[in-house]
Amino acid sequence: MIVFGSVTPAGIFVGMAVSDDIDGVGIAVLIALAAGTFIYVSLIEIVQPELVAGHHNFWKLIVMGVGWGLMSMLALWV
Amino acid sequence: MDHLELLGLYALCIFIAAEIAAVVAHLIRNVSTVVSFLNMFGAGVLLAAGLVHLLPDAADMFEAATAPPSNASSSNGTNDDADPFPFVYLTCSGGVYFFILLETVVLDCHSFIFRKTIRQHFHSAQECADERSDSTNSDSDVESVNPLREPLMGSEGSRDHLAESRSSKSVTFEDDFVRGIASTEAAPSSSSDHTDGGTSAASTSLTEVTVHVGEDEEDAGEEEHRHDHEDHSSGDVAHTTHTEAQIRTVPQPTTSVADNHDGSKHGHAHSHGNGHGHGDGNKHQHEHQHGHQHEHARARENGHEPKHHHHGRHHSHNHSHAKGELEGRPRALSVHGHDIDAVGKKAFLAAILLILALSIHSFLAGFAMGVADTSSANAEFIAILAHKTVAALAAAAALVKTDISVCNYWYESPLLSK
Repeated sequence: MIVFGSVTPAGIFVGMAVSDDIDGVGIAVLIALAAGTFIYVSLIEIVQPELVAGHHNFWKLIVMGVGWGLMSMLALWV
Repeated sequence: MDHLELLGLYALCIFIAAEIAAVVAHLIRNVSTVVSFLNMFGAGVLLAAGLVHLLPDAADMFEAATAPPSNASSSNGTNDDADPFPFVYLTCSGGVYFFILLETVVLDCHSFIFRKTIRQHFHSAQECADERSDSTNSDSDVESVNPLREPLMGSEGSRDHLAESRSSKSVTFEDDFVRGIASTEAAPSSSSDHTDGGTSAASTSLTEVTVHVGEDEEDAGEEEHRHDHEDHSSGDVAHTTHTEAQIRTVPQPTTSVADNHDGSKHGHAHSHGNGHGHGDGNKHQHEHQHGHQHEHARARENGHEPKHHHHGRHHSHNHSHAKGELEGRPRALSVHGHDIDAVGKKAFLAAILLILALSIHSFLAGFAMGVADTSSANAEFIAILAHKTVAALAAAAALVKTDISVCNYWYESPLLSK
């Protein structure tokens, strides 16, 4: 779990170190790749197994919608 | 620089949140429902973060970065008012595809580990059976060497009580199982070959990729399995080794098997349950308890193995055989408990691989956060924090579910392994 917990900060620091060396296109490509990662993780890694194996599917989807709505509302300010 | 300090703070927060979640998952054992809901919340957050926050940022940055070159190239007069190629969205969807591919490949390599284990079972068991059948029975010798003769075996139920036929049957079952696996990995032309040499060499080169991940667990598991199988295949002749195995094995509680195996583990447990021709009431209980994984293994074999009806016959045959052995050998319990221990180790390895696969995603997400500017890094921080906490909770729960020994539990515990 130490390894798992420290992977994301390691990614952050590597990204910080690299961000000076690559241009806008590279950053845009990486961010788009990360967006694809997010979509993949959320839809395939999480939602599909949860809905296949789950019991409270309706409430799970409600909770997911709440998370989606909150994160989308955040786009108003950020 | 303020931006760097902010990012460092974010990194620290994510790390602490993941560790706290891991500790919580260790403390609370029955978190599956809560983890499910938190997972779904994190999924919604991630979906919005990816599509609402990250993707427009990437598109803006791409347009800003490519605007001067496109203006410069428009002086060429070729395509000045044509829409630019949607490269960002291409990359995004390609990323989704790439990670599906990556995960499939990782899980396949994970399966190769178990196939290699089974193959080694087969080799050691076949050596035993060969040297035995050379001296005892030429008929069972032919059967144990030639897997193509296996259709004969289903009609041989009258020879259940013979030790030779039992041993050779279990070996040929292993043989056919391995051959079915090898035929899925190797070229289709080699599917009728005997499984050794070329086919295993072709697949073990892929196995090398992930064998290093859990090498010590895997080695331990292989070694115990090899012992176990030797005991089984030569059990009737050498009673002393069987009792020795009894002393050596430690029965584990049957509830220690986690229920989140993947297909490869299913196949493994299935081959064991059927390949070892003897058992007692506890064995039946075991197979009922893992009926789900049993089905999985059957489906997998049926999908890959053209002669699947032989499996059906073979399976029922081994069941009747287990009944026949019920009063004759009540001592197979401890060896069977050993099986469960090995399966628990595989589940532990599966949890480790799950964590590794999640780590790749987390690394990329953190990488994107590192290269982003402050405003989008804020949104990414919230998304990553929400997801990472839940993911650490889920991963730690998966580790807890494998329910390894107390020593391993504390060894894997995030506080003490520092």
